[in-house]
Amino acid sequence: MITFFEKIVALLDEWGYLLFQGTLLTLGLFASALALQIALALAVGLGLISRNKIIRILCTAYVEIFRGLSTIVILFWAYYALPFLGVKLSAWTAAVLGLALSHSAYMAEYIRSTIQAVPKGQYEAARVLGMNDRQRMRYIIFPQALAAIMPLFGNELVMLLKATSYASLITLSELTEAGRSIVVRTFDALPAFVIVLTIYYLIAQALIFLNSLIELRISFWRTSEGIDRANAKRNSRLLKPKNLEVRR
Amino acid sequence: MKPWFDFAFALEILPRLLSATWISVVLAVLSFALAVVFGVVLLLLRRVKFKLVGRSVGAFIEFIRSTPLIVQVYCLFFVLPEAGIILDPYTTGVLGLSIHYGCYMSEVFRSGLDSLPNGQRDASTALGFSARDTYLRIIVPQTIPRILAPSGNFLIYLAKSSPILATIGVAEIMFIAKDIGQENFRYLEPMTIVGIIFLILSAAGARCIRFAEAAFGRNWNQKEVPYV
Repeated sequence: MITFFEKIVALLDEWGYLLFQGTLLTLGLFASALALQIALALAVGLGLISRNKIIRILCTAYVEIFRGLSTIVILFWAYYALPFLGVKLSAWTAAVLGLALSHSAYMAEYIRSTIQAVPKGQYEAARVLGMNDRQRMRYIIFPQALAAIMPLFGNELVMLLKATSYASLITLSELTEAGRSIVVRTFDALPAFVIVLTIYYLIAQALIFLNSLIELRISFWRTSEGIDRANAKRNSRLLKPKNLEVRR
Repeated sequence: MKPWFDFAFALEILPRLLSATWISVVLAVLSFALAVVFGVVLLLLRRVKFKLVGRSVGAFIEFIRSTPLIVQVYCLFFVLPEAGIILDPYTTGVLGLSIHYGCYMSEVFRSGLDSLPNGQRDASTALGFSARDTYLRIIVPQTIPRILAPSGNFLIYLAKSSPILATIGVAEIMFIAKDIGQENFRYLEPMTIVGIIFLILSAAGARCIRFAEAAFGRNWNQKEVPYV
């Protein structure tokens, strides 16, 4: 009688390289799509709050179209339909483009809403302090919006990771496809899928953890400890003999 | 040389795609209804006094939420027959979608309940409401308008991820579109039509959510306090 655990070990022993390759491909896909997604989302998200009406309309159309389409439809369209328009993309390029396009629309919307959610008083205070538009954005609005967007960003990371599994539908042999091909060859579904699910789970948990670390770092000055430390720093600077002399 | 977009061909395949759209919509609505039921069950299980049950249900929700739907559907599709449970692809697909989104729905319900001020519970205790009346007359009616918008979003997410059921042989819209593409060796028209149908569907879905919010939210939130 072979136990379930032994089955998993045997499977890892025989097909481990396939799963490893699949995991690497999934991670690569995730990283490429994420980089492109952030770039696109920043451009579109800032375009959504632009003063220029034409830019605003274009960006709104972008968000509405790519949020309305499902990621799978975009992937299929990019891989199967685009060649008929004379553009031949590899499965990898189509997957990265499709994932980034559809998920950047969501993220652009997050960026817009968090920037607009910064209280109006902050804008007015920055204006009163004589900051120009660029300074106001750079030193007042953006840090607060960044702190507010981090939890949403963590959610989005997991969503993107899960969406990379759609790439298996356009013949890319990433983790999901690796798992499926093992099942097709071994006729034993449960252990293979348990391993695949566990790998996805671990990656997702690692992403959430990393995101929470960055979140802590970014919003440290908002916590009481951060405020205490900032005050202590300022006081120690004020109390230095050199500074005291200047005051006298 | 054929034109880039062959309108005659597009018109020819439109009826087939539209009837497949109908299947997709029915599947999505059915799965969503099941997901709501499943979400409520998970929510109740999570509140069981016995801590171990609550914890393990929480872990289950977390696990389902951070793994891809497609692997879960494969899992059901390949593993259930091995266990002796033979279901047709449609049932498997609906089951997979409703389990995945049921976990999300239970989180939506939970956050809706948690967002309610504690004073509401205290007040109904003070007024001598029974536990059942507290829930049915005070808590739930106030929670519903709060969870309408996120629930509606998940309905749209669900509809948008339903094309993955094509991989297990459910004849929904993406399956038919791919089929047409393979038969005629023209993918451009079916895929483009599918895209347009999805755009229309999600726009209509968003409109419905706004309508439901207006209808339910206002009535329940701003109901006048009766003078007794």
